[in-house]
Amino acid sequence: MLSFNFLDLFQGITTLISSPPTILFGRLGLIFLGAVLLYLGKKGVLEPLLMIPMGLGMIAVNAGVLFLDPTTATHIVSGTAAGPDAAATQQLAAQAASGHLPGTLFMSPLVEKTDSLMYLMQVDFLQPIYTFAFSNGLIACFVFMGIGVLLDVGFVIARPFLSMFLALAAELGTVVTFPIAIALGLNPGEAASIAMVGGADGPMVLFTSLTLAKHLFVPITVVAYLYLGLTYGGYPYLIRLLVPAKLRGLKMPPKPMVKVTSDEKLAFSVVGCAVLCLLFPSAAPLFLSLFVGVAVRESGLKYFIAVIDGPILYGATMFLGLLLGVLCEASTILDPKVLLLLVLGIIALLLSGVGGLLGGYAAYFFSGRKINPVIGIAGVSCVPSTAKVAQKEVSNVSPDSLILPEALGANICGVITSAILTGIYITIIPLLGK
Amino acid sequence: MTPALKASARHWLAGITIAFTGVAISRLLASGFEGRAHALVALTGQLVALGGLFVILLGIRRRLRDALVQSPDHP
Repeated sequence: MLSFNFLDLFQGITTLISSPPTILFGRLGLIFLGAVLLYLGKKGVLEPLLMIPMGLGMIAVNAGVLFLDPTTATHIVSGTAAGPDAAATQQLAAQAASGHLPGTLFMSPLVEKTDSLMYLMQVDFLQPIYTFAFSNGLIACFVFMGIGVLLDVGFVIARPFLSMFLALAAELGTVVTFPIAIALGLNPGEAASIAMVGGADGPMVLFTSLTLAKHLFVPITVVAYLYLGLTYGGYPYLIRLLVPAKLRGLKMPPKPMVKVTSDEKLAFSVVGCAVLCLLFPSAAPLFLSLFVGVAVRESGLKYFIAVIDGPILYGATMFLGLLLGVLCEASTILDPKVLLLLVLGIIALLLSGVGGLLGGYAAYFFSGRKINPVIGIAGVSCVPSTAKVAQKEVSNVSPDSLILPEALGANICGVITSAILTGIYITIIPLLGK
Repeated sequence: MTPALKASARHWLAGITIAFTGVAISRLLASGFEGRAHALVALTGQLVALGGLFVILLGIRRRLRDALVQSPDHP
């Protein structure tokens, strides 16, 4: 008579019980974290567009673990680069052949060999999107294209000195976190990737970590997106801590409006894109994506604007959130370096905020006390959150004070500065290893 | 061409020339050096190139300022 194990019907529970304690608690913790993120997204504390698919993805991937059939499991084991421990790899192969290897039907991010990838694309439903759109940075570029369409570079062009100065000051975290991370034991690629969190630009962190620290890109990108949500909630407190109410309410002299023409914006984008691509070819996909968005906007191509602004941007954002959530499977994300990454990420973001406000103070003094120092925080390139945070904090003290145009200038320049720093890091770091 | 546009065009020309000179320093000249000198020359070129973009921005800012002065509602 055939023996029947009742728990085989509910493999999500069986795999949970049979896994080692680290994975068991990791899976339970990540299911809980997913629920918290979803809740905070719904409440608007964190970005709902990302957090809702990400939270649900985290819950599903950690709950939906099953014992893979021997063929799929063997493809996963043989398609993944072998680890340093040969005995462990052999044991894994034996486990796969016996049909006792736990895994999911979402995707297998560590598989590299083409044959195995082709097989898995017919099994794992998110594998095609991961392989063709995520691991090559296409999703990051789509998001960047969308940002380009939303940006009005006229704000930067009208105030080049102020925008550039504040954007540079607000990169303090991106620059200073790099040596701190090296001192704490990360290699240069990992250090640069986590330092990019200071730029507060998700696609940039994703692109840098995919290029320089592929083995850690999941935890780094998840940490980055979690913290980006915090800029909206945490930076107001930083502003209140560092800028007294009297200065926050400072009214800036009204600036007469003369418009930068769309021809000028387009021509500047063309020259800027060409020069930056020539300087940093490794980051050329990012520059092209950003400036093609700007060019489409300034050329008035309404159908393209509608496509990039709608389906491309929101589709990419949804799948980015979903894939990031699904990548948070306990056995993938539980790395001893995660705690260090969490600490370094918050340091980077905090230092960038402080740097931006210090830049704001410098602008305040150099302008003869005319520029509101709160604008400095907008140099952190989380478009348009930090500019909105700056205006909101100023409006709380002085409702008729308008700083948004200047803040947006610094904000947009921050995006360009972060892209340049990405280019510098991914160009220079590989040279350091030579 | 108005004087304001002429001045702006001069900034555009100068800016583009400086930017591409910077690119040439960074990508062509730097490859002739090794080690630290390579990094230093490349970095100098990058700064020069970004400076060129900044010159263009200054030109546009100048045109905006001139346009404002010539506008009828300027005090």
